[in-house]
Amino acid sequence: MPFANSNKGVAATAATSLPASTNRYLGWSERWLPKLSLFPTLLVSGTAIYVFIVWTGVLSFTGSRMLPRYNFVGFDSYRAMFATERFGVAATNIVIYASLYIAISLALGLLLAILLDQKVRGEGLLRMIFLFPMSLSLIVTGVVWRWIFNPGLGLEKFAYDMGFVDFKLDWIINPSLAIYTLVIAAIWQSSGFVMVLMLAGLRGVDGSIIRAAQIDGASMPYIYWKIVLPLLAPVIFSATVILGHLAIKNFDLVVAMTNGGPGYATDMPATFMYAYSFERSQIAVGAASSIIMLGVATLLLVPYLYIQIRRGR
Amino acid sequence: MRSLGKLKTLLLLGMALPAVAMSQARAADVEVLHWWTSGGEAAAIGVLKEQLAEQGVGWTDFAVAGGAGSSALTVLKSRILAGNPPTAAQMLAQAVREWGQEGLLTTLDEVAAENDWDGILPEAIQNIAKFDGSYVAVPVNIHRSNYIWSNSKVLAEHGLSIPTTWDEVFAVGEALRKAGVVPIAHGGQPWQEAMLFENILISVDGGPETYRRLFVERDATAVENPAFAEALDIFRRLKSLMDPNFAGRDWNLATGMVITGEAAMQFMGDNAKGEFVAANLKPGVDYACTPLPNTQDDFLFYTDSFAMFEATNEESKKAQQIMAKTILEPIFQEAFNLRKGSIPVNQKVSLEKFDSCALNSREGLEAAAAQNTLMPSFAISMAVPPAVEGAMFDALTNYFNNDSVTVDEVKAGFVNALRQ
Amino acid sequence: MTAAITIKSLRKTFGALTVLHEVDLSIEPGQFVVLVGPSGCGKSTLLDCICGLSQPTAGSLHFDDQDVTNLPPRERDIAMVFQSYALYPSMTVRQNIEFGLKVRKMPKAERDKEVTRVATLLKIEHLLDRRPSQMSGGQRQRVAMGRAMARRPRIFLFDEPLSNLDAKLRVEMRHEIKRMHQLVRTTTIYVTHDQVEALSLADVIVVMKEGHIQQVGTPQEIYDKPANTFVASFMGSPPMNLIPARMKRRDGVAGAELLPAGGLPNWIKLQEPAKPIADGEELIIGIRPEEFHFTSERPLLDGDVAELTLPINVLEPLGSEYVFTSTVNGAEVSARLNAKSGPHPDGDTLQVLFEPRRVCLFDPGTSNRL
Ligand SMILES: Nc1ncnc2c1ncn2[C@@H]1O[C@H](COP(=O)(O)OP(=O)(O)O)[C@@H](O)[C@H]1O
Ligand SMILES: [Mg+2]
Repeated sequence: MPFANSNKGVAATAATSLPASTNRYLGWSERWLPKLSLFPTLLVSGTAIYVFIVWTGVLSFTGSRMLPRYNFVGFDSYRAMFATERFGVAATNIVIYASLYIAISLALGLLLAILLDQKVRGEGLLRMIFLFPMSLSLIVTGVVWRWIFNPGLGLEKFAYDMGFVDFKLDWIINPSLAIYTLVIAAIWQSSGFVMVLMLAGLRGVDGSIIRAAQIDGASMPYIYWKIVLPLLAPVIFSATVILGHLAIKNFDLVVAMTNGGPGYATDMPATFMYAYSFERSQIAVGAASSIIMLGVATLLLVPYLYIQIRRGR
Repeated sequence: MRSLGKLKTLLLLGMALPAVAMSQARAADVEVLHWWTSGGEAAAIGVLKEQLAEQGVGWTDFAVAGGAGSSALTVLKSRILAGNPPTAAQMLAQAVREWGQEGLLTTLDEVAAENDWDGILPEAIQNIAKFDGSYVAVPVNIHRSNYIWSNSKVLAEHGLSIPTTWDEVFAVGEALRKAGVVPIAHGGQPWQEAMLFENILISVDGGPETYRRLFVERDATAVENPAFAEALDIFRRLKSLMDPNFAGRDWNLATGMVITGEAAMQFMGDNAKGEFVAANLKPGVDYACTPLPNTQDDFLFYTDSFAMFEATNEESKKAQQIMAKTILEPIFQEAFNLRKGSIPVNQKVSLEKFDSCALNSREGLEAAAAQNTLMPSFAISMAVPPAVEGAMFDALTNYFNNDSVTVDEVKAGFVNALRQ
Repeated sequence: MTAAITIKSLRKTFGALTVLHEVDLSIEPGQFVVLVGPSGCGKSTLLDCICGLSQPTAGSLHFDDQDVTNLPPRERDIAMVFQSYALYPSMTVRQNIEFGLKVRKMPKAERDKEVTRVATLLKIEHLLDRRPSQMSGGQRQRVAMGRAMARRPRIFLFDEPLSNLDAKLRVEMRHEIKRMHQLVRTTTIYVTHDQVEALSLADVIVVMKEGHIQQVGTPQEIYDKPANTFVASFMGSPPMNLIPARMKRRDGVAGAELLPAGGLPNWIKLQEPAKPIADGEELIIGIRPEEFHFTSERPLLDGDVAELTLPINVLEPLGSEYVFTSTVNGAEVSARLNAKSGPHPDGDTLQVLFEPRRVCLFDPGTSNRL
């Protein structure tokens, strides 16, 4: 039957059976053409990524300042980097930022998805509204939130004008709180995206499972916690990886919103790297920080890759 | 190294294409990298273009806006790595030093001798235009860092006058604050904070000497001078005279606050004058430029200069020489500096067309030169290498923005910075 | 332990769409009631109202004397088995079975005992540590039943529990369900669109169509005396033949003429319908395919026997029986004949017998039984 009514089916079957049995009947060009045509892409992406990673790694062990130089000095630039208080601030910030950003985006995205999954009217519109921030560039997001948090322009002023003269919202100018304004802006930007991922996950959950649990006597929160959440594990995992890499890459948002300030209270590894490599003529230190970032990102990605590969088998 | 550079050129094809197109320019053209893209600045560079055209030298504009020159620097680096430098590039003093160390700059000693640069440039400025005793850059202008810009109407309205001591600064500021005016418009960016600090430093007792030791001689022990701690104290106390929203504010927005009367004063170099001029305000009538307390005869300067990259053919070399010569000629000096808000770097140029602020600057410059307090501004990358400067900025901005940071921590930061 | 269910004037609407119209139904304790009807007729909606997942628009629902119309599902003490099994994917079989007990805060020791009891009953002891994804459809179905039984609810609801199984397993599980019911005797409502399941499992069958109950009765009643042509054609496979005809009395005896295609008219005697019908009026004659017999079976038949010579359109020998289609009064008619009673029919026509008293009469206007 499937063969009789579908030419495509026949073709597909034939094609998939080719490599094993018929390969040796193919000429040289048929065998090598696909590989050959992929070669330029591989070459370009290979050099653009791996060669430059290696180059960056090499530079981090040199005394390069404004331009790359190849006088090797061992771990000097790493030492110099760890010695600056600013790197400590950047590292602490990324930990605070990434963990809060990931955790809250996930929680909020999940909550929104669950609410939106209750057959609300105008779901399509709501979904678009929540997803909209993701389509904004981080620069725009940063500028908007800078205004909102600016005590003289944004919410504080608004509340003041409304008569709440004691209302204070000066986080963005407070060195110990400014990092949280970045977290809030970033969460605003991505929780809609997480929501859409989670919503897709929730839609994949068989409704009768929830009904069965309801009949079994469980309350809705308990059902979501014990039954639905474990089902969303793959989605949560993917979302975490995506958010994680967005967090590590975070650069534009900081530049647009606080530019690392007040002082350098909101410096991040990426802005640190940029400042040292391109503004302070300490390419080696910048390269060292890139390598550290790469290392951390790799550590975070290894479990993901491992699972992907295992699943692929 | 070279081959890697070529590879990068290939990969960054988007960037490389226009560059290749530019290198095809006529032999006697100059390709000039600069970041003067805003209104007054662009007009000023237009003057140079015209002057060169009259002498048969074509102009290929290579403007890279943004980041107060840091974007231009990034582009410049990739051009250099690609083995394809522009003819000339706008640079601040420390960049001239760094490129000089890379051995990429061409000497201008010949033109300098022909045109008596040693005679027309102040000595302090000769120093930053030279590398290893040879001229490698042409300075264009002189800016003064230690100015207070004030809105005369606002001060008059409240019966106040421009403060001439720090006590007066705080008294006037307090009065303004009570009257609902922001006493000091500040932009919360590290370089602006550094500029504020450097000017406070030269204004306190023993300040100029401390400044010289610290930023010119790079003697870390100078942080122990009482002037350093005293300056830091004033620096932080000034915060009480600023509005709370200064974080990240650009300097021209702060100037705007003074222009509109929202704020009374701004501590800023004379790049601020361009904003007043653009708003059609008159110095001495609508606004005033006054050196910081006790710094009438001191002068922290910053200059823009053009450095020339080693050219491969004679015609380009010729064009470079013509450009270098033209930049210091009175016609261009006058036309350019009138538009830019700075004063001519060529001391022989008459100031008859300039305003009172410019005259004040020239006066201060001569006085400072005489008593050896004409010094490069560290906030505008005139004094210390980028690595040192960055670390110092970090220490200062951290101190300014975070009240729990102590003076000793700043000292330690400076000592560390000077080890870079 | 087991409850009576009384549904009164239950109505359910979704916006403008009325899915259930004035449903009235009484179910005695311990009865096995099967709800049948075509897909989309509102069976699941009715189950949802009974278990409380869905709120009726109007009407009332009682379990014994308790009004449960507005109770949430967990307070109704019922269990349900779903077509998709609805096992909790991240839990083992044991955890699935215990879930309802755990929610009800039953102590661990008792829970274990209950799991063991149910697992033994359903022969799934060896599966207790598996996850749903590691089991076959039949095994999952058993676990789903186990989960429902563990709570010892007063009512079981099944929503097409066997539809996802292959034919062989379906028969096996059907027997299993029947066995379980005979064991626990809990009131059960079982939804299916498969009439064989309905006939084989039910104490009482409820036939539904478009939100209306068509007939409530024992399987035999539903089979022999369908309330209308819909029930007649829905139950039985192949369905009851419905042949249009006119009343034609002979000597005051009710009867009608049947005209096989290409043959001669044949008057057959009918039972006098309860509702008086004048000569010449239209009616529908319903004959089950299995009411036709080879002529050799005449000795087995009582009373009046009608004889027809039917043209053979299509003939399917099925081993134990022959099924063939023919045309009578312009309507397609199918017949099932016992293969043991006659030779393979090899002509164009076949002579068959049937008992007129086993024929049903319907009103073509209302399609109700006369
Ligand atoms: N939540 C709902 N909203 C709107 N219509 C519904 C809903 N649930 C069921 N229906 C409609 O009610 C009718 C009966 O559905 P259902 O009870 O599931 O039929 P079935 O007899 O096949 O189980 C169908 O037409 C279906 O489209
Ligand atoms: Mg259904």
